Amino acid sequence: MTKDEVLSQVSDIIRDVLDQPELQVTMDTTADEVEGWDSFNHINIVVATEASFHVKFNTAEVEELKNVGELVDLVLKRLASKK
Amino acid sequence: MLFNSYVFLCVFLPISVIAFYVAAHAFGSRAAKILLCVASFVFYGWWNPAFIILLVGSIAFNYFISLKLKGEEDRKPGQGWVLAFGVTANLGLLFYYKYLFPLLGFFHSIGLSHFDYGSVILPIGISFFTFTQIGYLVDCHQGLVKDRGILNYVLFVTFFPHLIAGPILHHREVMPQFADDQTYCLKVFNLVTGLTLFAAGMVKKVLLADTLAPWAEMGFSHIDHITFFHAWSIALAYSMQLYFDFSGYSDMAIGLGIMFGVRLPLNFNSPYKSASIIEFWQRWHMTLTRYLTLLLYNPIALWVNRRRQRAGMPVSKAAASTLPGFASMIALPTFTTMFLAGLWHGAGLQYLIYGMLHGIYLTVNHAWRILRPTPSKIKHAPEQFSLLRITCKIALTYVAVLVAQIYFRANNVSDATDLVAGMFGLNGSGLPIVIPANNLKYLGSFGEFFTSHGLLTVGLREIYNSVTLPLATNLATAVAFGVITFWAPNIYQILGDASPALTKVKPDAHWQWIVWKPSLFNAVLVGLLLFVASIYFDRAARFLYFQF
Repeated sequence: MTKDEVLSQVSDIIRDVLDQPELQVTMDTTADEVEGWDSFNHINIVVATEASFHVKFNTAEVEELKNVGELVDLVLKRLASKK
Repeated sequence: MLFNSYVFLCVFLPISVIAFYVAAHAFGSRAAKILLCVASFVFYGWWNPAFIILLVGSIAFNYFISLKLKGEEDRKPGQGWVLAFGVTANLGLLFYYKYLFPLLGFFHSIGLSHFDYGSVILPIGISFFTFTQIGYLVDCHQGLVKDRGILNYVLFVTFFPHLIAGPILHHREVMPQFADDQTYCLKVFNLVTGLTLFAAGMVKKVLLADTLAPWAEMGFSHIDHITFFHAWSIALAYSMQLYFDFSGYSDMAIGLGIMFGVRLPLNFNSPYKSASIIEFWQRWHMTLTRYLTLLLYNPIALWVNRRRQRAGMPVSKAAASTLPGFASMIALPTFTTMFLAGLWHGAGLQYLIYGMLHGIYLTVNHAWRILRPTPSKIKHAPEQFSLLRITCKIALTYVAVLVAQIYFRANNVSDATDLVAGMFGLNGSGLPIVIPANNLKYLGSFGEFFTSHGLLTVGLREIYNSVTLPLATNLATAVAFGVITFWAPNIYQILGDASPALTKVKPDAHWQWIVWKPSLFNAVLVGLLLFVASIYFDRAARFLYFQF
C-alpha cells in the first residue's frame, strides 16, 4: 500500500469514529486541532486502525503518536514487517 | 528536609546550587551529577537516615530489573515475567508500608485477629519514587528507554525537588536533560526564574495554606451536626488549603528544578477554574493524571476495545452511545482507574468513596459529551448568557470537587456524610446571627424585618463576638481566596515565556498586560516575599501530600 492509500483509509476511520463526515484530515493534523479527539477517542481510532489493517501496535507507540502522519507511518512500518 | 525550613533555605539550597555549578565547571558534568545525587540522599535522609537504605535498595533493585528488560526487537522469552516480578515487588513494598498494618488493625477491630500489630512509619515519598520506577520498568519493557546509564537513572529517581511529593516525572522528559551538557552551564536567568517561582510557591504554602490549616484542622476534628454556614466554611477552608499546599509544593519543586538547569512538568494549572470534571483532571495533579492515563486507563481501554473489535462489535462514537458500549468502553476503564487512584491515597473507606465519586463524575461527564446534541446542531445561544453559562459550569464542577474532597479529608465516612448533609442545609442554617442591642439602630427598618423573620437575634456583645464575628471573618477570607483562585492569573501565566515548566500554559486574556521581567523591583519583591514567609516557618505544618 502507498502512503496516500493508507492516509485515505485512516482518514475514513477518523471521520467514522469521531462521527464527523466532513472532517478534512492531512498528514499534519494533530489531535488538538480536531474537536472531540480526546484521549478516549484516540484509543478508539487506534483500535479501529489496527482492525482495519490487521496489525497491532504496542501501548507505548499509541501514546507517542503526535499527528496523523505518524499513525500512517506506523501502519506502513507494521505492514512492511508483516511481509 | 522541608522546603519551608531555615536549614533548607539558608544552608542546603545555597550550598548545593553553588557546589553543583562549581563541580560542573571544575570537574565536568559527571561530578555535578554525583554531587546532586549525594545532596538528594542527604535531603531525603535528613528526616530519617534509616530510610536512605530503603531508597537505595529500591533503586538498586529496580535498576537491576530494568537491565533484564529489553524492547520488542531483541526480547528473550520470559521477559513478561521479569516485568511482572519487578512491578509486583514494588507494589508489595507499597502494600507493606501503606495497607498491611491498617488492614491487620481492621481485622483486629472486628475480632478476626487477637493480636494488635500496631502500625508502621510510612517512609516519606515512598509512593512517588515507587511510581516513577514502575513507569520506568514498563517503558524499558516496551523498548522506549534509550538512556540506560546508572548515574542518570539514580539522578532521575532521587533528584530532590521531585523526590518526596512529585511532580511524577517521566524518564523521557528529564533523562535527556540530565544527559545534556548544556544543563550544567550556569545561566543566571534560570536562577532568577527559579527563585521567583520558588517564592510564589512558598507564599502559597506558608502564607495561604498554613493560614487555613488550623480552621480545617479544627473543623474536621469536631464534626457533629454541622450547620449550613459552618459546614461551608470548613469545606472551603480545607479545599483551599489542599490546593495552595500541594500546588505551592509543586511550584517550589519546579522552581528548584530550573535552578539546577532542569525543566520539570507542570502539576497544577488553576484547577478550580475548570468548567468540567474532565477538564479538572487535566489541570489538577496533572502528572498523576498523565501517569494513570498511561499506565491504567489506556491499557484497560485498549484491551476492552480490541476485544470488541475481535467480537465484531463497533468502537465508534455511535457504539459508545449505546448502553453496553458505554459501559464497557467508557465506564469500565474510568471506574477502574479512579477506584485505584482513590485506593492509592490510603487504606480508609473514605478514600474509596473519593475515588468512586470521581469515577461517577467522569462517567457522567463522558456520557454528557456523547449524548448531548453536537454544538453545530444547537441554535446559536445568545452571547449575553455565555458568562452566566460558564459561571454555572465552573460552580457545578467546583461543588462536585468539594464534596469529594470532604471524603478525602474526613477522619471517617460518617463525619464526611454529616458535613455534606450540613452543606446541603439538612442540619439547619445555623442562623440567626447575633447583634448587640445598641447596634440594631444602624440597620434602620431592616433591623425589624430581619429580627421578625428570625434571621437576626439581639444578644450580648460576648455572644456577638463569638458567633457573628467569626462568620464575618470567614466570609471575608472566602472572598479573598475566591478572588485569587477563580479570577487571578496563575504564576505560570504571569511568568509567561519565562516560565520554567516543561508544559506551557495558555495566557489569560484578561491579564495579558501583566508581563513578568527580571527587574530590580521584582527582585526586591521576591526577596521580601521569601522574608515574610520565613517569619512564619515555625507554624508550618508538613505538606499534606507527604502522607501519600
